[in-house]
Amino acid sequence: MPGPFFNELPQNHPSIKREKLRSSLESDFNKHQTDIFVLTQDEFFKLWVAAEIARGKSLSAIKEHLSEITGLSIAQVSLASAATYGSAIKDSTSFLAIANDFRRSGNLLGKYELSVRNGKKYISFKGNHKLRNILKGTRYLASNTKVISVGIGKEALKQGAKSGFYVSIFFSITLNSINWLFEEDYRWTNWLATTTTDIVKALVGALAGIFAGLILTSATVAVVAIGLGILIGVAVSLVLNSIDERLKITKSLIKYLEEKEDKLMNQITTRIREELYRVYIVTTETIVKSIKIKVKRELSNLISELVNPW
Amino acid sequence: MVKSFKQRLNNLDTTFIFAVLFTAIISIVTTWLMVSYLFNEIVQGILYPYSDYPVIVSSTADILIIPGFIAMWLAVFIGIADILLKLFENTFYEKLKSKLGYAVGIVLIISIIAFVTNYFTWQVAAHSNGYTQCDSGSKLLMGSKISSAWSKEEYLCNDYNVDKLLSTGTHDQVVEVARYLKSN
Repeated sequence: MPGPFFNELPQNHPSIKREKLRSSLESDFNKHQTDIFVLTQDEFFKLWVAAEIARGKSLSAIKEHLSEITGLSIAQVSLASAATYGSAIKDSTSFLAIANDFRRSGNLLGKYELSVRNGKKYISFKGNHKLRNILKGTRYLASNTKVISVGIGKEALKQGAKSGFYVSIFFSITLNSINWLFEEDYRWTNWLATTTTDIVKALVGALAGIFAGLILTSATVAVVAIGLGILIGVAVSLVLNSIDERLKITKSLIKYLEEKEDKLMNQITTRIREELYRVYIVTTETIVKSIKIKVKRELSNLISELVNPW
Repeated sequence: MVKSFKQRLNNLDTTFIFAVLFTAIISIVTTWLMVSYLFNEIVQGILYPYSDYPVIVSSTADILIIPGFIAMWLAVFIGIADILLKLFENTFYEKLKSKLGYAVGIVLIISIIAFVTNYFTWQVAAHSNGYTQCDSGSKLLMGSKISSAWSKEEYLCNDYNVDKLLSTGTHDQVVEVARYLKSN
């Protein structure tokens, strides 16, 4: 008895068909997969060169092609690639020419956007997923662009830490003010000392977070780098807090401020007392003097009346 | 174009080197603190609800110091591996960096799980062992933002002498309070 697939050709066997379908789906998925890239002008030029190399072009062929599309002389192009990549595309026309060439080659998909931030020109675009491998394979781009493409760089980290620092200061001041308002024993000295030490803790924590995040972006994905940056910032602040608790830094500062306050109040009180005493003495003396004068005058009047009654 | 060692040395990012140095210094200081008292303090803090101390201190965030400390050292190693990779262009450092990259990911996941678990289990365990949190108007640890005092007897939250002994909430102070209350 013939098998169930007797009349089917070997390439139409279900298992082979399933495999074909899977690989076709995979290739479709890869073909349509896109990434969003944000690159500086310099990085974009490097990526273009790396993509050309990946296509099997020699350096001289790339230079010739670059000269063709930008209209720059070979000498200018050579200089650019030897010294600082990207100097050849400092002007916008050349930059746009390269961007258009990148689009023609299928690496840049859809529209691209040019923007200027802090004096630096950036290009953002949807790109072919193959560019990701090129980025990974290019040492400079792998350590710079890959990070920027997911939206985090040195600046983003700095901004994050800055806002974290401001949030901690805001909470510290708010909570300390609430304590000052509602706690009976919490005085201005507590508020000032606690806020001061909190600022120092938050500052050191934020710095530790930025630096650790900066290092971690070179080895891991952005989300993990940010998460661990925050974790390290918090951990450092907690360590500082434990040092503060152990060495009683805030408590000592409160004590110091209270002592100063007491000293100042004592000085003021003594001064006031001295002034009051002086006023008392002067007033008494004046009163006694005026009484003396009055008595003298009265007495002399009386004597004169007695001596000369008419 | 193959770059000379001098060129590669010149190409190193100074901010990155400074970041590695700063993180290394912080890590060394934290290690010293961990060995001298901090690790013991954190462990004691986790175990407080199961203890017999009449007054205990809750600072559940302190547990984050341990994964933070590990992450700091991992960051230092990643930084050193990155600098060495740029200098010697040896693939070993690249592999090391990627392995350390995975490790930091694991540390992040563990720290989140540890923090959440400790936060809830600490409170549940403290309540079940008869501790109640001193309310915000009480004397103990007044003004503290991350620590709170828990006590088996409510009156202790407003005890003047306990407040004097438990000024900042360290483990030594918790022990001292227990000793003082036992002697009275």
